[in-house]
Amino acid sequence: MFVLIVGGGKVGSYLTRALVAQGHEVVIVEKAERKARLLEQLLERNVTLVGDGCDPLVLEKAGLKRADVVIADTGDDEDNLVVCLITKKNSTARCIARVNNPRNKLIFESLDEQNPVTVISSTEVILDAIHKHVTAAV
Amino acid sequence: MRYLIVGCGRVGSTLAKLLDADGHEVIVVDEDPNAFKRLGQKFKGHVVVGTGIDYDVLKHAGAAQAGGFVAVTNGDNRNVMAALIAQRMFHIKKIVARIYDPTRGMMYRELGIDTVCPTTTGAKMIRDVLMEAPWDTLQSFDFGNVTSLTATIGASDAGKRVADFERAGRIRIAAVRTGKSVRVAANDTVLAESDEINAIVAPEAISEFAQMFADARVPENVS
Repeated sequence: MFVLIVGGGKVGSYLTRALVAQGHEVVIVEKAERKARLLEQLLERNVTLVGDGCDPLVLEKAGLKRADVVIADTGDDEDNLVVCLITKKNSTARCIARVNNPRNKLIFESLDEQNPVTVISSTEVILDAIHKHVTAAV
Repeated sequence: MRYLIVGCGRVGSTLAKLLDADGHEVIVVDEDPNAFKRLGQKFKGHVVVGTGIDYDVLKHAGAAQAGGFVAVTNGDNRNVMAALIAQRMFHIKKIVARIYDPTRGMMYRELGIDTVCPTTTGAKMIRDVLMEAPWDTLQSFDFGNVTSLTATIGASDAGKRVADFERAGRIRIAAVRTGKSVRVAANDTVLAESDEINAIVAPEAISEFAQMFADARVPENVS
C-alpha cells in the first residue's frame, strides 16, 4: 500500500518506521526542513518531502492521486482538517486524521458521509481508558 | 442582528466597530485578551477570550443565536475550520472567511462558505493605482481569473457600438449606464460620451482594454 503522512512529528516518524517495516511505501510531508532531515537520518531512508501539507500542490507532488491512505497527523486540528478537505476533493484515498480537541471530531466526520474520515482523538482514547479503569475499580 | 467575529486583528476590530456603530449586536472572539484594545472605548459589543475553533468557546460566545459569522484570524486553515464549525454545528446562515490563498479560497466556496481573498483584491487595487488605470476594479470572479471593470466612454469613442469594444472570449460588455439608467448591453447599443460600461475582461486582455480607454484616462489628483 502507498501511505501518505502529513506531519513528521513523533507519531509520524514512529508510524513511518512501522509501516516501512511492514513493507508499505510511505511518503511524509513535513514543513520544517531540519525536522525532515532528522527524520531521514533516523529512518535511514529518503521518504520525506519538505513542504506545507495544507497546500494542494505539495500534496499532489507527494503523490496524493495514487495514495491508498492519507494520514493527517500534524499537531494542529485546523491543519489536519485542511489536509482532509484537499484529500477528499482530489483523491479516493482513505483518510485518517488525528484530532486534539475531541469536540472537533464531528466536523471531520461531516466532510464525507459516504466514506467518512477515520478520526483518532488521543484525548478520547485516554479518557476511555480512565473511564474503564474507574468502572473496573467500582 | 447578532454577528460573531473570530479574530480581533486590524480587519476583525474594524469590522466589529463598523457593525457596532450600525446598531448590531457584535461579539468578538480572540485568543489574546490584549487584542481587544483595538476595539477602543466606544465599542458596546461583547468580547470572549478563546480560540474560534472550539465548539464550546463559540457556544459560550452565543453562536447558536448568531445571524452572521466572520472568520478573520491570521491563519487560513483556522478560518476555514471556524467557518465549518459555524456552518455544521451552529447552522449560521451567513458565513464569511478570509482566505489569503486564492486556490484554496475557491475550494472552500464549494463547501458553501463565502470567502474573501485580500490577496487578489489588494493586488488588483494596487495595480489600478500604479497604472493610473482608467477603470475601477469591481468584484472579480474566481479569484482573479476574470475581472469585472467599469470604464467611461470618452469623446473620441462616442457613437461607437458595444460590439466595437468586444473581443471574442476576452472582452465582453455586460451593461451600460447612461446617467441614472442602467441597461444590459446589446451588440448594437450605441454609446455616448460619458456613458459608463461594465466589462468582463480576461487577464490577458487587460492591457488591450486599457489601450482602448487610454484617451478617457482620468486626470491625476481626482481624490
